Amino acid sequence: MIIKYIFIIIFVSLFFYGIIRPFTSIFAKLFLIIGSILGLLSLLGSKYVNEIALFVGVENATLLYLYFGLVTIFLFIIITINRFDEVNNNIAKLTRKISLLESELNENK
Amino acid sequence: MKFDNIYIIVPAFNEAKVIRIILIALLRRFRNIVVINDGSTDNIMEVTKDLDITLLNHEINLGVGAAVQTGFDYVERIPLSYAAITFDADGQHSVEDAISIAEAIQSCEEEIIFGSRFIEHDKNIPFIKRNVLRFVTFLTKIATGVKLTDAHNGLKAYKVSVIRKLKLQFSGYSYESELITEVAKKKISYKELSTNVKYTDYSLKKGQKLTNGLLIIEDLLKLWK
Repeated sequence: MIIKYIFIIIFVSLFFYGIIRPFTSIFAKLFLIIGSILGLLSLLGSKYVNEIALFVGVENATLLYLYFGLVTIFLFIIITINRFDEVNNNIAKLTRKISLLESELNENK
Repeated sequence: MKFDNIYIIVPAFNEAKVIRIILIALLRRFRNIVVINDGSTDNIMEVTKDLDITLLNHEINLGVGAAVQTGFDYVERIPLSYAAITFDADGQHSVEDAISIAEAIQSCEEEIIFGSRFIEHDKNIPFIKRNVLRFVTFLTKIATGVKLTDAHNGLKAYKVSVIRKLKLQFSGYSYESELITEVAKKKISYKELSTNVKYTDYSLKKGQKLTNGLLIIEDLLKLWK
């Protein structure tokens, strides 16, 4: 029972955190909010999640969680790869600028 | 004959074994040589320090595309520069071809000259590499509409006026595909010139891996969107 309450507190906190926290991507915000709602529903009444699953055309709540989890993982990977690319591009720009500045300094010596 | 307003850009990554001989051969015919040490971990600095070249250093390895772009940025800042020629540091290009391409860029109206191994010397390319290159060139033609016989030859000449127009982002080998996309988008005039290629065990080992073709195709898809 205690575990259940702990999870309820966690999901409620995540829900409000998702609403308040500024995200660079709206998808990340939506996933946190929807994920925490689904988590809460699964704790308070799994029949609701089953109904949602049937409503969206998925067989049962377990599969809905599985699909939701998979989509989240794929999105996370894509967003992370894009971030890495951005960081790499910035590092490349800085490295190139440093090399040109160094050559200018050497020429001025 | 020295080409006073032409700059040879040599991107180099761990080429200490061969680069000195190549640079000495280039210096006999070209006054301005810019080597971009792309984060090498060998003693390239030592073997080139007594040569009359400009050495630019990338503190970390970024890739040939980034090295060429650094070379472009350097040449672009020089007031009297007219053109830049990219020349691989692994010894697969000949100085004679660099001279031909330098003479051609000085006298032609086109803004870029692409060296092509496929006009006369395709038999010098190993069989599998030759067919992979043909396939990548075919895909590049579909993606960009630019008709070339060799999309990934390191030996090219660019007028400085066109370097100022180019906005290249890719750091790896696929910068060549990006370049061709820019040529198509900005309607940059170009022509091809036959160049030879000399593959040694060293250059085959050091050069582009065939599987890199997959990365180039991935980048082509990014350019296509």
